[in-house]
Amino acid sequence: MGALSFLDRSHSVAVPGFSRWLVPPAALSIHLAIGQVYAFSVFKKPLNYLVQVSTTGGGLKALPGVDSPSPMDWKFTNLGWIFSLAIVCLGLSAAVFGKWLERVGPRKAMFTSAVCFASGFVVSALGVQLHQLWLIYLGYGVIGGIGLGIGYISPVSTLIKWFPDRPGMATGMAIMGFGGGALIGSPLANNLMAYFRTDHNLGVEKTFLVMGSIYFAAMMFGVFTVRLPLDGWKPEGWAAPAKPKALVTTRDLEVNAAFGTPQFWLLWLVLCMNVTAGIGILEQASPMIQELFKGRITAAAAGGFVALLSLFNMGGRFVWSSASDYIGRKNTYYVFFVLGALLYYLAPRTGASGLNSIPLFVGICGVILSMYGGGFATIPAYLRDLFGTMEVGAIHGRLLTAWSVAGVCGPVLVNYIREYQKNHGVPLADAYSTVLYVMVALLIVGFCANAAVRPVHARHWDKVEGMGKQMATT
Amino acid sequence: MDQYKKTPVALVILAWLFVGLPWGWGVVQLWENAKKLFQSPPATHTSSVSNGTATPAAPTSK
Repeated sequence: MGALSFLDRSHSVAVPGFSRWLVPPAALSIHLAIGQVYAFSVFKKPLNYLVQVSTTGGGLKALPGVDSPSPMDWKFTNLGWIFSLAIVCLGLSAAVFGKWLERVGPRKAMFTSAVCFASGFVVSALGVQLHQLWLIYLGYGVIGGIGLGIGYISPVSTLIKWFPDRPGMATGMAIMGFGGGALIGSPLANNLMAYFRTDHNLGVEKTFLVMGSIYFAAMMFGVFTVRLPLDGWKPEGWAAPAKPKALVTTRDLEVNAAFGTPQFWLLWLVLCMNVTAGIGILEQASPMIQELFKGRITAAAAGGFVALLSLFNMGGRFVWSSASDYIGRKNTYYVFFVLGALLYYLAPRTGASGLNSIPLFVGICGVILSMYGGGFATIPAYLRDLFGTMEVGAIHGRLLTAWSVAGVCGPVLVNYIREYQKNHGVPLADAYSTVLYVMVALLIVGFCANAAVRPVHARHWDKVEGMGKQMATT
Repeated sequence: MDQYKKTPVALVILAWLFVGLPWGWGVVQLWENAKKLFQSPPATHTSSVSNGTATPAAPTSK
């Protein structure tokens, strides 16, 4: 208790003179670490070949095939569950632990996230050593996934409190870090595996152990750096607008009350539609560009295209969320849905049978992906506008279930439509067009949900404030 | 009431470098991969596509 008391909320309040610009790097150290989850695919092939390489040797040379020839090795389909489990646990833990996080403060939450995320790697290393897949499910999938969820929402309300003048930019910066985590995690894992690799061992378990240690240390930087502002703190020279915008509240709603408002579910739909549509492009970016420009794009160039989209996705998180501070959250989402629908409609027309322009197609996909990332990054500030700052982290945690749903529905929808068309003799290039038109329909649904967002009705505030008064008198 | 203690600018810069340097390294690595898109197309027709799994793995952030 005593040794860990520095994690308490009361011990993480900033002294006067503390620079708020230390808080974004603290948040980024968490998000850049947990964003590694999107680079997990680099482990799939080595994990698939563990037994084959340990028995026959040959190191890297044993990896050329699609699936390991050894029946003792884990199958690709089973390995795919590690990532899915981690994402499901992310959504669930963000929803479940949000209220706890608001109570204990960001420092304890970040510490818990670091312990879970790093332990996930350690348990997974043990799973590789003993060749027990269930240990990797438990380690990286469940324990690590809980670390992902708590870590993802841990800095949100703290950043909004430090940056009341630019909440979109502040949260956008952190969430951009989650997008950027794979950029570090992927080359780091590849370099470590190359370093530890021998003729009979692919170096996966040592890589897990080292990565767990590195990420734990990096996340500790965030734990020690993060601070909460003093009550009533405001940026120097800034005053809250005398007449706030229609959708921006000056009051605070607690998470359970917010959960019961139509606004929460409208934003849930807004996020879900935006993410599902974005995944529609992400899932098929590589085969789509090769099919639309047959013979002009190699597999390697298509890989470069996917990498470029990641940069747009990451950059969009910062650019769009910052822009939302000036044009408003609702207008930002209007741009996503209107411009997005237009671009999804145009994208197939840039192919070889239409405008035949690779730069135009790449540009369109880039803007679409920037808006996909922007949708993630702008939502915390939208929630803060509607429900106030007090429990925005917890509310955000619950809203992330929309991401989990979209993460499952998006790929299923895309693959189902593509397969259906292919089986009915539709050329692949045309099958992609159909998928993109379905995405346009999803964006229209998102547009309608966004248009329906109004300020939270007085009865929700009255209920909460009435309960507060009742508790004060008893 | 705690005493006023101004954060040194150097500390803020160091904190940003702590996260910025590895991030920048990651961006450079990704850009190296992305550049392949702009390299000259093959002279011959290729048909290595079909199921979305044929291309080399690049990190995608969702």
